[in-house]
Amino acid sequence: MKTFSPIQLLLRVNPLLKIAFTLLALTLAFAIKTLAGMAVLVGFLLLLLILGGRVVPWIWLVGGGVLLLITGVNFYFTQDLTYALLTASRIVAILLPAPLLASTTAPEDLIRALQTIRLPAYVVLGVILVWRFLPLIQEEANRIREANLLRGVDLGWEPQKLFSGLFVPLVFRMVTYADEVTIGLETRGYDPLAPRSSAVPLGWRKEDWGFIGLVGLLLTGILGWETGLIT
Amino acid sequence: MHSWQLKDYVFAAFMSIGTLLAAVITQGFALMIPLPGARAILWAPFAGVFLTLAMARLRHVGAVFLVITPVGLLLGLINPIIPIVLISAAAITEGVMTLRKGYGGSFNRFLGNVVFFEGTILLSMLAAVTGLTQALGLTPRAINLPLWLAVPAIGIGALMGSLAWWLGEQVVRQLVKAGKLDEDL
Repeated sequence: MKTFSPIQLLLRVNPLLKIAFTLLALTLAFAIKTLAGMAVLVGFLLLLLILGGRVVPWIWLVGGGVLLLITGVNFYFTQDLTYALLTASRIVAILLPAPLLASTTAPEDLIRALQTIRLPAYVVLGVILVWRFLPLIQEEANRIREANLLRGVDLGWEPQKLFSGLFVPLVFRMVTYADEVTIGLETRGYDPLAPRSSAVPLGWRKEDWGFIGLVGLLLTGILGWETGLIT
Repeated sequence: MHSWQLKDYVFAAFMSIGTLLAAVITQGFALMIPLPGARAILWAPFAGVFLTLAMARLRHVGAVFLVITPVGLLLGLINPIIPIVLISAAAITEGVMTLRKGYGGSFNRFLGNVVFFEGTILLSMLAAVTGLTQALGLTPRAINLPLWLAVPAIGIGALMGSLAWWLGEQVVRQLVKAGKLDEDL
């Protein structure tokens, strides 16, 4: 039996919808003029972040501390508590949407979304290869660093050797990888311009309607406070 | 218009990985510098190595776009302004390099690097300053003077672009020596 999980709900929302919401939230963060309207937006974003359940406690502590500091400094210079709070919450509203999108979107979902909106083939292939090979290249960089340590070179303490000790050998490995991957793709008949199929096509689900409903409520709330209809 | 092959796309994607790694490496240092555009300034010399390499191997106009677009899209997950800055700088670079008919030759790669990093640094500074002033509701006189910020930014951009090109050319030479790249010095 399926059980309701808010984390699953956010993960299942269409990535394109989440990208659109990120842009909308950023625009609202700059446009909102009232503290109450900003509080509604920040509250909504924090709620989504909690539902997403991907934030470690120390980030809350550091984030909270920095915001208190910004509010305090602003209040000290302006002697206007409303302005100080509005500024601090505006910064939260600007900073939250992108990590929220990143933490609740699986890489494969993002790639399927990019394919759906028919981005140029090179962009989709580029993103796929970057996601697939970034961890491998990072591992390769670690191996090179360890090899340097064996020779008595600690790159952490000798940054002047970073270029010759790490970058040059890493570039050589990357060029070799690129050639091998090209051969692998060509022998398998991969064509970047051919349409790609997906076992789980990206469609419109009921979670997307739910998310749109929530955003609709958010917009109504903000509009109400901004226009003075809600006091 | 040059038609790209699969090997070009794959090579560009690997250079994108390099530029992303450069962003990861320099991120920690950049956070300690409270200057608008600091990230782009520190990122430039490291990312330039991979960008120069892509220019040397792909040679045709569009090479910078092939490398930068996936990077911009992925970094857009961290900050939606980043793809706008990167793709705009890439568009300016490709526009200028169309007049030079591509990236063949050391001087063209130098020009490509300088234009790209000049564009990236100036645009990221502009985005950071605009964002901060809008977010904080500030209109201080110093920030209203674009020259106050633009002149040093242009200097730093040229310096970082040149450094990126110089480092990149060192790697290009070694790859040519190793027989992994066609000679084009």
